[in-house]
Amino acid sequence: MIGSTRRTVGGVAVLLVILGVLLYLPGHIGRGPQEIILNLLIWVGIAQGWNIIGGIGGQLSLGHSVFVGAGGYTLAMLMIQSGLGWPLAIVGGGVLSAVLAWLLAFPLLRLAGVYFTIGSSAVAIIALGWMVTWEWTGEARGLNIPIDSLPGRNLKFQVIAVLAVLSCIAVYLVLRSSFGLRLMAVRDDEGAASALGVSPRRVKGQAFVLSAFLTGLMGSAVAINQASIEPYSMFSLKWTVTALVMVIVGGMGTLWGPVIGAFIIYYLVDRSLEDQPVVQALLSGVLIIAVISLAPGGVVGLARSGYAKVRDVARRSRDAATPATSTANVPEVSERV
Amino acid sequence: MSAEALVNGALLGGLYTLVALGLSLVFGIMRVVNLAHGIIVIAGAYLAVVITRQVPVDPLLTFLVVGPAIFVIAALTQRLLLQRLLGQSLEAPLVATFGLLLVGQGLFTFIFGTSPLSMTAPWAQSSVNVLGMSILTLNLVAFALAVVVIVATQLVLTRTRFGTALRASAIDPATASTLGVNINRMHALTFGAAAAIAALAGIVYGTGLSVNPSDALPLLVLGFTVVVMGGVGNIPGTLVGGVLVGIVAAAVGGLIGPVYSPIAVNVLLLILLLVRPRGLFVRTAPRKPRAKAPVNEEVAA
Repeated sequence: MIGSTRRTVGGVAVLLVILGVLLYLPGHIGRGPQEIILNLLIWVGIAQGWNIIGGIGGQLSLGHSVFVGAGGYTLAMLMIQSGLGWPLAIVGGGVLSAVLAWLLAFPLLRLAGVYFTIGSSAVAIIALGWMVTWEWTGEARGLNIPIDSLPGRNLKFQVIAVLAVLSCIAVYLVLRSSFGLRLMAVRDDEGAASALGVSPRRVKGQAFVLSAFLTGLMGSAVAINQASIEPYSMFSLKWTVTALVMVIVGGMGTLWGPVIGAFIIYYLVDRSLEDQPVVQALLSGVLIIAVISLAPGGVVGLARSGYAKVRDVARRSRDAATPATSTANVPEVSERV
Repeated sequence: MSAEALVNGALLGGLYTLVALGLSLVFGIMRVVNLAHGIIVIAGAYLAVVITRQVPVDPLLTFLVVGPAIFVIAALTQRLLLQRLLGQSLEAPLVATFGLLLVGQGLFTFIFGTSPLSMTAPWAQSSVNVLGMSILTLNLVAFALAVVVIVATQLVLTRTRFGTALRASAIDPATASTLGVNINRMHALTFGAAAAIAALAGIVYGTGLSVNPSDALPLLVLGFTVVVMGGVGNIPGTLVGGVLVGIVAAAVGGLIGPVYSPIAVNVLLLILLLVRPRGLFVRTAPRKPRAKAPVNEEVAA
C-alpha cells in the first residue's frame, strides 16, 4: 500500500457504507427504480472491470465482451450441468474468465498497445462466431437457467450490489497499491518503467487477469439477472463499447470516473434514447471524440482541475493578504484518489 | 478441397491487400492504428452504391469521384482532429478513431439500415477458365488492382522526392522537420491516400460481396492480420500477406466449413502475434542470453 493505511481503510469503509445503503434498498423503493439501479450497478461493475486494464493500465481492450459472455455461460453451464448453487457458480464465472485472460495475455500482450487493442477485438469476434455454432452450449438458441434455482428479486439486487461495490473496492485498492503505481508507470512510459525494473508484460498481464475476473463475475450476474442467455447478447460487442465510453466520459483510471460515466451513459443517454439505438451510437462516438480532444480526464478530470483552480485562487488571495509568511510556495503532491 | 478454391482464395487476397494497405501506411508513417479504417472501406462502398443508383456506370468507375471525396474528408479529419492528439497519450488517437468508427457506424445505419447492400457489375458475376480451373473474374480484378496499387505505392515511396520526404518523416520527424519537410502536411496526405485506397477496396468489396455497417470491425481485424503477416510498413509484404490470408481463409472454408473461415482469419492473427509478431519476413536479431530488450517497434517504411 502507498499512503497511509488509515486513509485506505477509511476509503474502503466509505464504499462499504454505500454497500450497506444499497443492501437496505430492496423492498423500500419501488419496482421501477430498483430495476434502474440494478442495471446501473451492473454497468458500474463492468465499467470498473474495464477500467483496471483500459484506464489504469492504459491498454484499450475491445475484447471484454468475451469475459461477460464467458462468465454468464460458465454460471449457466455450472448450474444446469452440475447443479451447483448460484453463489459458487458466480465465482466459477469469474475464475474461468480470469484463466481465459491469462491464456490470452500470451499473444495479446507480446507487443505494445495497439496490437493488444486489435488482437482483443479479434478474440471478441472469434468468441461470438464460435459460441453461435457450439452445440454443447446450445448454439444460437443459448441456455435457460431454471428460475427456481436462482435468487429472488431482492436477493438478486443485493448480490449484484455486492459485486458492483466489490469491483469499486478492487479499483480503489489497485489505485492505492504499489502494483497500481507500477501499472500506471507502465501506462505512462513503458520504456522508463522497464528501465526501473518493472516488467511491463507481467504487470499488464496481472491487470488483465484481475480485470477479466471482475468482468466475469459481472457476466455471471448478468446471467442471473436474465435467467435465459444467448450468444448474440452475451458476447455482444456492445458490452465493451459501452464500458469504454462510460470510463472515458467519466474519467479513465479513476475510482469515481466509471461510476459517473455509467450514470451519464446509462441513465441520462441510453434510457432516454431507448427507441433510437442509432442515435445512441452516434452520440457515444461524438461524446468520446469530444472528451478525448477537449477534456482527456473526463468528468473527474474536469472536476479536479476546477477544484485546483479554485484552491489556487483562494491561496493567491490569501498570499496577497499576508505576503511575508509564505514566500516559498512548495508545490503540493496532488492526491490521486 | 480443390486447387481451384485455393487459387480463387489467393486472388481474393488482392482485396485483403487493398483493405490492409492504408492501415499499413498510416501505422508505418504516423505510428497510429486507425480503428476507423474498416468504416472507411464501408464508406467507399456506400458512396459507390449511391452513385451507381443515380448513374448506371460500372462500380469501379465511381472511384473517380469516391476516391477524391474520401481523400478530402480523411485528410481534413486528420488535420483538424487527429493531428492534435498525436503528441498526447498513446490512447488518445485510438480513442478518437474508435469514436469515428462509432459515428460512422451510427451514420450509415441511420442512412442505409442494417440490411446488406451490394452493387452489380458484369465482371463480378462471370468467371474465366485458366488451366482448367474456373476463376471468378472478381478475384482477378481484385488481384490486378492490388498489384497495380502496391507497385505504384512502392514506386512513389522509393523513387520520388515526395516519397523520400515521407519516409524521412516516418523515421525521424524532428530531423525531417528541420530539413524543411512539413510533417503535418505529410501526415494529412498519408491519411487521405490511405483512406482513398480503403475506399477502392470498399468498391470492390461492395461489388463482389455485400456491405453492412457492422462489418467495420471484422474488416479492421482482417486488414491488421494482413499487416502483421506482411510486416508493418512493408509494402510488398502486404501483398504477400493478403494472398496468404486469402489462401488460409479458402482452405479453412473448404476443409472445415465456410462458417469457420472468418473465425480462422482472427485465429490466424492470434497465432501470428504469438509466434511471429513482427511479420513473417523480418529477420529476428540473435537472442541475447539474458536481458530482454524492451519492446521497440522497428521504424517502418
